[in-house]
Parts: sequence; structure tokens; C-alpha cells
Amino acid sequence: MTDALREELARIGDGAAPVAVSSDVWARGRRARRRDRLAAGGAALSVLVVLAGAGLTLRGSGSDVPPVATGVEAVPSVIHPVPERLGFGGIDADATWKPSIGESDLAIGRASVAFASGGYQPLPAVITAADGAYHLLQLPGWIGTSLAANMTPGMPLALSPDGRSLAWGWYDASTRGSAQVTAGVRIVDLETGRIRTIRLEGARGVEVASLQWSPDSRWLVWQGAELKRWEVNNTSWGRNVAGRIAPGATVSTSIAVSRGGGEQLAIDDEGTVAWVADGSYRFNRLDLAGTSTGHIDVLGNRPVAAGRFGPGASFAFATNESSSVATFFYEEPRRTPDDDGTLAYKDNAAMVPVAPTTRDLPDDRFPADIEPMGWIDPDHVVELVTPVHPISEAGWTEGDSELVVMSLGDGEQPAYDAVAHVAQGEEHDGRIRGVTVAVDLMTLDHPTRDFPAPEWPWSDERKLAVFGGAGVAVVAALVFVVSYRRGRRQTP
Amino acid sequence: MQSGEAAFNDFVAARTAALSRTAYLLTGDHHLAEDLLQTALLQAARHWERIHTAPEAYVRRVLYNQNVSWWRRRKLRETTLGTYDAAAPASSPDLRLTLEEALGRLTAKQRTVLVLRYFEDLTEVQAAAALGISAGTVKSMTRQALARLRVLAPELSELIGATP
Repeated sequence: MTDALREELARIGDGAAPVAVSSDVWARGRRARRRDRLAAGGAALSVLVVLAGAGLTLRGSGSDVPPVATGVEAVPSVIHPVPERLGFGGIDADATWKPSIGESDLAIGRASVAFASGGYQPLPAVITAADGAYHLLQLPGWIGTSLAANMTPGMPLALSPDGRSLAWGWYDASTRGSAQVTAGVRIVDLETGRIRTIRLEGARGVEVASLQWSPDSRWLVWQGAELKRWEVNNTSWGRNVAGRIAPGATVSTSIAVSRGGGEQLAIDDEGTVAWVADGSYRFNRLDLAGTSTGHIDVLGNRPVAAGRFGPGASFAFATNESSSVATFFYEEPRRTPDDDGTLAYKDNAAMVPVAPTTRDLPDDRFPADIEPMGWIDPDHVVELVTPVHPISEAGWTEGDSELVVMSLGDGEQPAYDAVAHVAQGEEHDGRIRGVTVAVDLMTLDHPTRDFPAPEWPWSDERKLAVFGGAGVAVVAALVFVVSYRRGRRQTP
Repeated sequence: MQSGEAAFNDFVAARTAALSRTAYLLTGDHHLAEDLLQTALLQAARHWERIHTAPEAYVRRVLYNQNVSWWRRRKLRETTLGTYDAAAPASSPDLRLTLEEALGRLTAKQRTVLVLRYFEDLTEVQAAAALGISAGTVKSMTRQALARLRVLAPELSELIGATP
């Protein structure tokens, strides 16, 4: 059916006359670029001249933040984007952090948040848990901004719930265009810096698009696509593929699931993979033996992102199927020891979930994308909430996000508790992508802590403004002094 | 090594036809497509240092997002929701024209998602990355778009399937 739609769209597209591009587009674009720089520099210069004249000193953007929670490992209360200018697009090479700021030593210690930032070619950044410092990592083979994988930026990056391991999709750019592009998943121990490489093969290569850790930070499930063609700016995607990586393993086990819509996968502490089927509204699980072990009706609710397993055999996913967005909590008995001691499901009754609990978003946060990040305890799920449309009356703009603790129980904790803000960048759409959080660091009493805002290297415009402004101030002072002395000499 | 301008011109010469097809499908109008592509190429020239290694990906992103942005500014002038989902006249025997008409009555995001999924052949995750939204939103938006197409143009059922 949709093949017919594809063909019809292709026919419509073929009927479109090629646009006659103006010959001065390049010149106009460059003029605009120069205007940008002049305007930025001029505006900053004007401001700074005034400040310098008033005897004020410039301070960094993070000078007013609350004091550091020294030595306490925690998730920060504000997650800042990284300026795009810190990235670098090399000649015939993928984008990377500028050598002067990118870190190749990955032994940075336990982390609290990982994300990709930096505009249209997002690069990986990690915040360390003890000091809230931002580390712009040069992950070997980072696929998120590769020339071939440029339609999936920022997604193949996942910090483990304990904050000790970071997984990412990688590929060997030197093999691009060959019969088999070398690619797969890499995992680094952030405390030792040791990297584990898992190679994936299929078609011309396997491009990893997303990753998720199990709650105990040991298992990993990945999703991606086989590429039929993988060259610079010339890629063709084949079928969706997925796999799971066991604790310590250097190989991946393929997951043979029939996933019509490419449903997003979650994995539990036993390596069981789960997803909610797009068409049938059923919660499916696939254990290590490849046996489908459960089909639970999710009552017509379709997830908008991968769900998350939690403690006590619970599972959370978010949906926007109805008029409101809700998080569902499912609980079901796990396998219990059989007479011979093996774990097995007793009967179908074991598959029946406890009635799902829903928590709607507040009115001023709807409609929004909502993505489970993990569980704090059996009653509390951490979600990343991003409004789909601008919500000016709520003070939000499109792209603003917040980390929220949603409560299942009816206790004193609020059902919707925003505990961290994901600041929006000023470049392009400003969104931080692929956020994952070390939820093991979060507690109900102290879900997040305040850390100083990062101090990024100064931009060229800021250097021009500061040093130029200082120069202008000095000249102005000299002129004033000279004028003053002349005035005194001329005074009878 | 090529100069920036030469590389840009080479890129424009090589990819304008393909990008024109995408721009036309996104807008459904030759003039709007021309404006959209010119705008995207202007942005590409403006940020060439940053994007010269993968200019097409950048230009396509600008096409997708700029189109949605333009539509937001135009939408106040569009038809009210009361008539929005009314079936399009089935008088035209030309299926292509009917599909074009129906596409023109989708929201820009719905139309963009369909173009990404069924013309550009992107997966949900790839489309989500291109639009800066979640894969789940792409999924639900695709479903809503197809459902609206069925309402707008029932005669297209063989093209897009009779049931959700």
C-alpha cells in the first residue's frame, strides 16, 4: 500500500521543474555572514564600551549560579547546550570538537548526563557527576555526525543508569564506500577509559541509530538499519535491524522481532527485550532464548518513545494517543521458580498486568514529547518532557525541555515535579539531542543539584568586543586626560 | 583544494534537481518551492564553513524546518478546521492531481513527515532526527496524516490503504 504512495510521490516529484537558482546566492550568503559578524561584534562592542566606561568588569555567564555541591555526585539542575562554534567540520571528514577543547582521554569519571549538542551536526558531550563539568568527548568513530549517517545526529548515544559507562554508535570512515563499512557499537568505562568494541555486519554496513541500557547498567539493546549504500552524501537505508549486547560481551546477538513500524526497544536486567507493537497495541517481550514471553494489551495506547523497565517488574512508557499525554506503569509477576528450580511463567495469568496507572501532563505542558529516562524507585519515573508547539502563555518556547519526576503513588510527592531544565541553545533549532541521564544518582530528596554553568572559550566576537572595547576605553581615557590638561593649561 | 564558492556551485549544480523535487513536494507550489530552496541555499552559503562536509543534509534540514515555519506564519489565513477535513471533490480522474490536492490540505508537519517517510525513504528515527522531534511523534503524525488523506480523498484508498 505504502509502496504505491511512494511511487506516486516520486511521480509528483519528477514532475517538478528544477528551481532556477540565482547566480548570486553565494555572494548574498557571504554578505549575510559578514553582516552577522559585524552586527555581533558591533553590538557587543557598543555594550562593552559603555560597561568599560562605567568601570565595570565583565564576568562569565556562570558567575551568578548557586554554589557548587562539592564532592556530591548528582545530576545538574540545568543542562546547558554547547555552542556550535566549538565544533569543527574538517575537510572530507566528519565534524568533531575543536582539537583544543575536545577530550580524547575518556577516563573522566562517573557521569550524570550525556547528550549531543552543537547545531546541525551535534557532537557528544558528557557532564561529570562530582563537579558538573562539561566534557566534550572525541569518541572514536562517533557516527552521530558522520557524512553518511547525517540523518540521525545525536541519537546513538547512551549513558548507563549508574553513570559509569557510555555507549555510542561508531563506524570507520576509511571504509566508507567499500563493500562492508566497518561499524557497530562502542562502550567506554568512564572510570578507566577502557573501550569495548562490538562490530556489526549486514548489507554494506549497519548504522546504529539508538541505544538503551538495562536498569542495572549491564545489558544494552541497539537499533539501526542496514545500509544498501554507504558513501559520502550518498546513502540508502535497508531494513531495520536490532540486537542486544550481554554484560562484558564483544559481540551482539541479533534480535529477530517482527517490527513493522520500527518500534523502539527496551531491555531489562535479564536481557529480555520489550517493545509495544505499533499495530496491535500489545506489549511484547523476547527473552534470551528468543521466545516471545508475553503479549499484554496496553489498552490502545501507543508509545511515543522507547519505554523503560523499572524495579519490581514494572515498565513505563509515554503515549500521546489520547487527548492528553500520560505515563503508564505496568506491573506483572516475573518468572517464578518452578519445581525443578528453573524460572518459568506459570500460566497466562502471570502475563496479566496490574491495572495501568496514568499520569497526565499538566495543561500548560501539553502537547509535548515525553520520553522515559529511568526509574528512581518503584513509584517514580524520570521523564524528559519537550513541548511540541510553542507554549508562550506558559513561558515556554518550542525546544525547551525539562526533566520531570512523575509519581505513581498518592503520597506527598507531587505527580509532576520538574527537577531540571534543559536550556535551549541559540543556534539552529537550539535543541540538545539524545539526552540520557544517570538516574541512579537521583533520589526523591535530592533529584538534582546546582552546579556552576560551564565557561566556554570566548567566541571571536566576544574577544573582539572585550579587547576592542578595552582599547576604545583606554583611548577615550587618554583623550579625556589630554583634553583636561589642555583645558587647565589654557585656564588663566 | 576547491574554494568555498566553487564547491558551493558544484553542489548546487549537482543537487538542485533533487532538492527541487523535495521542495515541491513539501510546498505543493512551484513558486513556494523556489523560494524555499533559494532560502535554504542562501543559508547554506551563509554557514558554509560549518556545513561544507555535508551540505545536502543541512539544506534538507532547512527545507523541512523552514517550510513548517513558513506554514505557521501562513496558517491563520488557511481554511477553518470545520471545513478542513471535508473530502476533496472526487471529480478529477487524475489520481496524481487528487493526491496533490489532498497533500495541500495537510498541515506542513504532516506533509513533511509523509515526504520524509515515503519520498525520502527515511526511517522514523531518521525523520525524527531531521525534524528535531521524537520518533514516536513521527509515528503518530504519519498515522494522522494518512488518516486525514483517507478522509480528504477516499478515492485514494488503494494508494494509502483503506484502514488505519
